[in-house]
Amino acid sequence: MNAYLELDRVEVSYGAVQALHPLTLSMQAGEFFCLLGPSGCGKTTTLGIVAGFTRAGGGRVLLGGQDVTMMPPQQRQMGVVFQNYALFPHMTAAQNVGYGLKLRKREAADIERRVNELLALVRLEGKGDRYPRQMSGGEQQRVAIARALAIEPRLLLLDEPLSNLDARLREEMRNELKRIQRTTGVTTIFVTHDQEEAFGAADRIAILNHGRLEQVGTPTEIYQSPRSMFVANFIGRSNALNGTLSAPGVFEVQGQRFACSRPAAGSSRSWVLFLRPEELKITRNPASTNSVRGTVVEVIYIGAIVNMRVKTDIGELLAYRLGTGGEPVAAGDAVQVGWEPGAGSLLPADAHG
Amino acid sequence: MAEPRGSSAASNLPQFTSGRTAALMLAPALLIAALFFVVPMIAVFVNSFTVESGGATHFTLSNYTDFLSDDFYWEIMLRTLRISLITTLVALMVGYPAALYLYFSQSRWRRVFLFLVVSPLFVSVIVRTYGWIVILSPNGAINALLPEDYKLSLMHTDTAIVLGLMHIYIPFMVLSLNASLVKVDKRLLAAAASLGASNWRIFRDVLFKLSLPGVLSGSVIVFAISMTAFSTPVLLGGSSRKTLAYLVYQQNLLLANWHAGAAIAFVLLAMTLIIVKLITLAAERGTKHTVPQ
Ligand SMILES: Nc1ncnc2c1ncn2[C@@H]1O[C@H](COP(=O)(O)OP(=O)(O)OP(=O)(O)O)[C@@H](O)[C@H]1O
Ligand SMILES: [Mg+2]
Repeated sequence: MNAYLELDRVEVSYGAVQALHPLTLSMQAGEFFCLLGPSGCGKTTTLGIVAGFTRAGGGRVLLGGQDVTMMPPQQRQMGVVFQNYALFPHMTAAQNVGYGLKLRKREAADIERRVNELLALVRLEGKGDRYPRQMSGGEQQRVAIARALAIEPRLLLLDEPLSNLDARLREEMRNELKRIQRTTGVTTIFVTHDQEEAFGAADRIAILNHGRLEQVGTPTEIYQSPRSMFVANFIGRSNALNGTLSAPGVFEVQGQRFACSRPAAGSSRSWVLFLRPEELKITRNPASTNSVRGTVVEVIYIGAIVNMRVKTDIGELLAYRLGTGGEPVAAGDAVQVGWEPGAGSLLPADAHG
Repeated sequence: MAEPRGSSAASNLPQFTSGRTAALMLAPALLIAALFFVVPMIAVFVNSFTVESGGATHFTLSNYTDFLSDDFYWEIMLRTLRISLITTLVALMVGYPAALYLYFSQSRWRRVFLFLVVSPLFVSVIVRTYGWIVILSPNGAINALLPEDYKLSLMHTDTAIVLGLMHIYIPFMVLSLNASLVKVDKRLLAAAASLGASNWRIFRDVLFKLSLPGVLSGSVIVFAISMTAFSTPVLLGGSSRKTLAYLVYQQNLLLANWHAGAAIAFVLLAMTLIIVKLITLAAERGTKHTVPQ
């Protein structure tokens, strides 16, 4: 299948600051795609390139096979939802939603019908006469989404649209976004620096760091097989063990040897094994192939999950387990921390990040 | 469409405007206004409806009727009005592009430009007006550039007065427009562009609409101070191009005719207020909903 949107070695610099190093990305039609990365990594810049607000210093942008690199934003037909929504304060919700249609010289009756449809889609029936300042943050956001959808955009671009909302509303709106996206089938790029948000919504996620693409993949791929130190550290919690590969399939940490799978690629003197807290098993007696002795430092119940910190010879390890399963453990207990030979991700330590 | 402004819930933010605090805050300004504005205004108002004859003071409308039945005065009234309206319009047309430049400019010359725009305010009116005389007079800079048969007679014309006033008042216009434009989030323009608005439509539908409060305040300020301007019209217009402010001066200070002078002052005030009200009404239709969020 051909890509719907392609960024081909797109570069952006602001004076001396290189905001995007040559970036290559592609998206399929109908995809819900997330751009995830820390503040200042170039997410807004990438969105600006796609929308046409930012001029590329090099490279090409292809939309449906057409080169749109030089096309002004007016002609791109992209629905943009800004972080602060950027609703026109002097227009009602209905006028905001209808503005793009008015510019397209649709008939008034036509516009009214379409605006009502869209307001219903975002569950704002009957609120069309309100001005933005008379609406809550969540309502304003839905107006912004309806306004972006009104022009039947070729792409829906969302720049951290949920960051102004409180936790509950944020989750509600995220599901709402997913629903709207499924209903309309519009290809969507969603920018966020909140990984929970990205994982909860995206079909695929691209992780950016310092203007470079670190990894693209489904949420599962990214969580289970981070391909760089940066991704492994950035996504979720991990225990990082520094060591060497003393023999194929043998990972050595401070004199202790553990079985491991072969690294996917790379040759390096030193390696880091990233183990997710839920991959570690705490037992009284050695149970798995790989295990180290340790003393429980702290046990914290966080709802369904129990967090345990265990001091071992190879450093302090963090382990999760469901509150209901396993033998009860308390601080001060002597335990074994074990993991499967295939668990975790092995990455070369000299990789950047 | 129902005006929605009243529907907002009462704000509970700190306001410093409750009872005693408010009274204390307003007291100095109110005192000055009462002593130096309200009291004299009442005195002038009473003067305008009285005459003195045989050592006694009588009520009369003649100060007004004499003035309003004289074609000579009507000509001056209309000229004052015309000059002020044109000055306001020209200041708006010259000031708007300058304010737009200030809004969009990222250049490091932006501040220099802003300084240049307001710099006329740092020079006394008299000095600036003499500058215009040097430029406009028969032997002045403009005529020096023109060939012999095409010399212009620019001094003592309405044009000269408009030029002089506009020069002084453009800074007020630009500052008003600028104050209003800086509140317009540039992302609104990007949003309009992404919806397909041409640059002209972005300007017409978004930027200009949201700058209307600045257009209004700038126009009201420039119009009001043009109506009452004194030295510039006198120096550039001469005796053949009198304006109302000069008449007030003439009646009160040259002819010591306090009662006629008072009536003219009130006619001037009334004209100014009426036009300001009209400008406000016109702009209000567009600014109803542009209160900043
Ligand atoms: N107009 C500009 N001039 C100079 N530098 C800029 C400009 N806009 C962005 N940058 C720089 O480019 C880099 C990327 O910025 P960008 O806005 O794309 O980050 P972001 O990933 O959206 O961050 P955030 O999560 O904070 O919104 C940053 O280092 C930023 O400082
Ligand atoms: Mg951003």
